[in-house]
Amino acid sequence: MALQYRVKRMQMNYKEGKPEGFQAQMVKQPIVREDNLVEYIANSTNLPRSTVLACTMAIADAIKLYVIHGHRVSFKHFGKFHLKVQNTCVDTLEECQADTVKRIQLCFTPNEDIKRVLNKTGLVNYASLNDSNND
Amino acid sequence: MKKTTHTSGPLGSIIMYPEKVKLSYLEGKPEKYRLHWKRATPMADEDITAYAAQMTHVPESAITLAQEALFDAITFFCVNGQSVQVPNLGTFSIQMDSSVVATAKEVGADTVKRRRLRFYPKAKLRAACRLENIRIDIDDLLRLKKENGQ
Repeated sequence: MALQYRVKRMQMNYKEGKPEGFQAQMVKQPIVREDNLVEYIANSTNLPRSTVLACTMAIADAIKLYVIHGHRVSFKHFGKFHLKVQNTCVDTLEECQADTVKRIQLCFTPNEDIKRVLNKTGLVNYASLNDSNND
Repeated sequence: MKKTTHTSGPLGSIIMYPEKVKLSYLEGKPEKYRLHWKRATPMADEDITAYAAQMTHVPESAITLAQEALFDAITFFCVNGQSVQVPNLGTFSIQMDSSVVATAKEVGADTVKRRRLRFYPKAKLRAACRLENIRIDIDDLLRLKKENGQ
């Protein structure tokens, strides 16, 4: 199990003379669609597909309901969903009203275990992988 | 005939209170006021399981099983470089941050600084969390309590 990367040529416009540089870019794999995810979970848990779909949707609804009421929803082995509020500072206490809030956003923060797993994941050069397959 | 439109009220609500802040990064370090968010009680796995069980009439044990399998599946697919679409929630995917080097030969696993798990909420969920859909209640009493050290 490893992430694949390819070498990407890029121009550094922010540097004088706009020199060229090279960077590792992740190779995107096919997206796992909702149906495929539900089927995968149903197969791994032996639960009926309809039950898995209902559970997944109910979990999503619960996250939404709690988050929009200011709760932080934490999952022990995954991470937490929470709102992020961006607001501005004002000079007086009287001005400090609800209209100083500029934006509210839903955020997700993965927990340390997930971060550790991600950072331990191996990396393979896509080009070398293809070369070895052709040999 | 005149068309009637139904406008729904805010979907959610949060409580905020004004707080004095010192802007240390500005010259003269001026004091200003800004709203501080009073977070509601954090919700854990069990609360979500209980809610889902109530909504779906599925036993809590099955919900827990499905929930664990869901998060394991997201991690498994993301570690393989795949994006995962979760019904009613959004998409999880991996992002890789790497440093720029002078030659193509120098590019390797060691130039990758970190990998991040990103979450892109579905449009409906994003809309529900927007400013216009959340009522902001200002609780001035909280500020006074905090100022008095209570």
